Amino acid sequence: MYFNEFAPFGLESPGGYPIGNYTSTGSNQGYNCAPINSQNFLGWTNIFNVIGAVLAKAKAAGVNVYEMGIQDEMNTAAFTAEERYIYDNSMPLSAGLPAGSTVDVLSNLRSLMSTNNFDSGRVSYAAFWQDATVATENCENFYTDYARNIGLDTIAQGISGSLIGIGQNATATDLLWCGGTATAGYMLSTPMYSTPPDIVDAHIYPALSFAGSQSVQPVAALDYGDVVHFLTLAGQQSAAIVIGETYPGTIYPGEWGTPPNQQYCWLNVPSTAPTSNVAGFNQSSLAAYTVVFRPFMSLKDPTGECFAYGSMGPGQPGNYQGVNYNGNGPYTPTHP
Amino acid sequence: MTTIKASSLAALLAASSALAQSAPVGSLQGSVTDPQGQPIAGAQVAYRRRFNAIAIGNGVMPAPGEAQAFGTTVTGADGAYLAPGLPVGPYMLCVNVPSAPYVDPCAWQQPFSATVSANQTTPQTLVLTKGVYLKVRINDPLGLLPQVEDGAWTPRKLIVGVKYAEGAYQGAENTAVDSAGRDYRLVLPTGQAFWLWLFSRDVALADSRGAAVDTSGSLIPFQPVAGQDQVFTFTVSGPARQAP
Repeated sequence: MYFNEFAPFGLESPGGYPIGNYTSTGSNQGYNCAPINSQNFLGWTNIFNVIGAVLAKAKAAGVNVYEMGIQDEMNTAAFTAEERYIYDNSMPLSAGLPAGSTVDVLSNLRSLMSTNNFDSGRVSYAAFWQDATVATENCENFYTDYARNIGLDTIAQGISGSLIGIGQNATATDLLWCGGTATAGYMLSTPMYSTPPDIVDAHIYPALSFAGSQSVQPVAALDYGDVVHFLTLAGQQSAAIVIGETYPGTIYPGEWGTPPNQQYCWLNVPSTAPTSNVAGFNQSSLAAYTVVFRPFMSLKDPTGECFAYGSMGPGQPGNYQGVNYNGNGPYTPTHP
Repeated sequence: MTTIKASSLAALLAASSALAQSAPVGSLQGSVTDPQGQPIAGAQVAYRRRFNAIAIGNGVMPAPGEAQAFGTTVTGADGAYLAPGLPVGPYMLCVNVPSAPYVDPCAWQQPFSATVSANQTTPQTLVLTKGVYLKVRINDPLGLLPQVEDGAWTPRKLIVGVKYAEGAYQGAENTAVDSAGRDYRLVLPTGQAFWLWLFSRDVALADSRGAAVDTSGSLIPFQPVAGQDQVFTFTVSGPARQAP
């Protein structure tokens, strides 16, 4: 087990998943049983202060904050401990609250947005996406939504004060959680509730899982259509819709490589993936909505090879994907 | 983010193929009793095979080829249960007793564990401790709360539960809604301290004496006593003063 500065819970070593996760324990009680990070967590008051200062700077500079998220691709289905990024039951003292309180992280972030004249509803938690190993596979999950939407579902449930975790008697079918029921007692109930955000952000790379070069267009049509089903169930049809990560405009295939020369520009998919992605989107019912696409940035060097996506942070040796062309900054979200 | 590599899949699928060819099974058998060894009839024993997982970006799923087995069996008058024909491997078991306040370890501790071996019956006695019911009645004479039971996609306007230990939380289940209010229920273990948790952004509550109750996450201390249900009644006194 280890702790890092950003997580109010302990993490498994190796793996890095929150302690008490479903796959390790067979239980949804991670929110309650994951150890408190009293070792080196930055503390909510400090985090709120930094975010407030950044928002104030943005406001002063006339920069709009379209969306704010503090945890990327949060997964409160498998890792209920991550609910602490919404309502933290473990670190009240770090927010100046008495023991036993719950830190309403979401409301604090919304207040910071409002204070700086930004839309408080734009505080969000981007959702991971679950594609299947069969292009046409599309079952109903324990929330009565399409299984591909589980990332969106679990965030919505975690915000709205409902049940999170893996549903009772759910079956993993072709990498989708199908069937089962959302059962109190088996799943974890959350202590607070809030109104839904005004923004829905999903990271979607439509493809067959494990076979990324196939079926991008039909899977895209299915995936984006499923998003509409979620919007209806969650009553979020009027929310801003963001595909927060998807295929970039230029992709360089076949660069998996072998260590120590392992290089890859993200997914091993054909260069037609972006256009197939858009074609599938246009076939889907989501095309009737206004949607912002944010392609993931992939950089290649002048020889046509991808820069490494190293394990170190942006700007560190071996990592050139989070910074600009030469790794010298400032960040420039464009290809060389 | 997708992290699993295609090259890994071939090995996983090869392993799954080998598993499917052999597919040995065994059984779980035993009884559900109280600490004095008395059988508990009508207990719902839910079992699920634990699985090795693969990471797919920030999601995790059972690895290809991992046998998935789950189900529920109900004990007879003698407290006995049997779950036959299970794929071998480690299992977790939860026990819910609808007719009495026995504590389900899956909610309050760790699930029971058992290992199923090939062509064998694994004996497993499941001992449950008796708790008490927490029963909370919310009278709603003004009709400010939803007239439907809590569900996955029904908006909440009130949350009822308990806090315990270092911030741990268990929610009470909304068991009924009628024209005059709502009922919540939860089985609690005895012998430890709890704080009743009431949270609402929409309504104000008063206790049985008419005193206002903090609905920003009130912490009303109590300690359940064996054999006595813990009953609370509150009344919706109006809308919340300020919506945060």
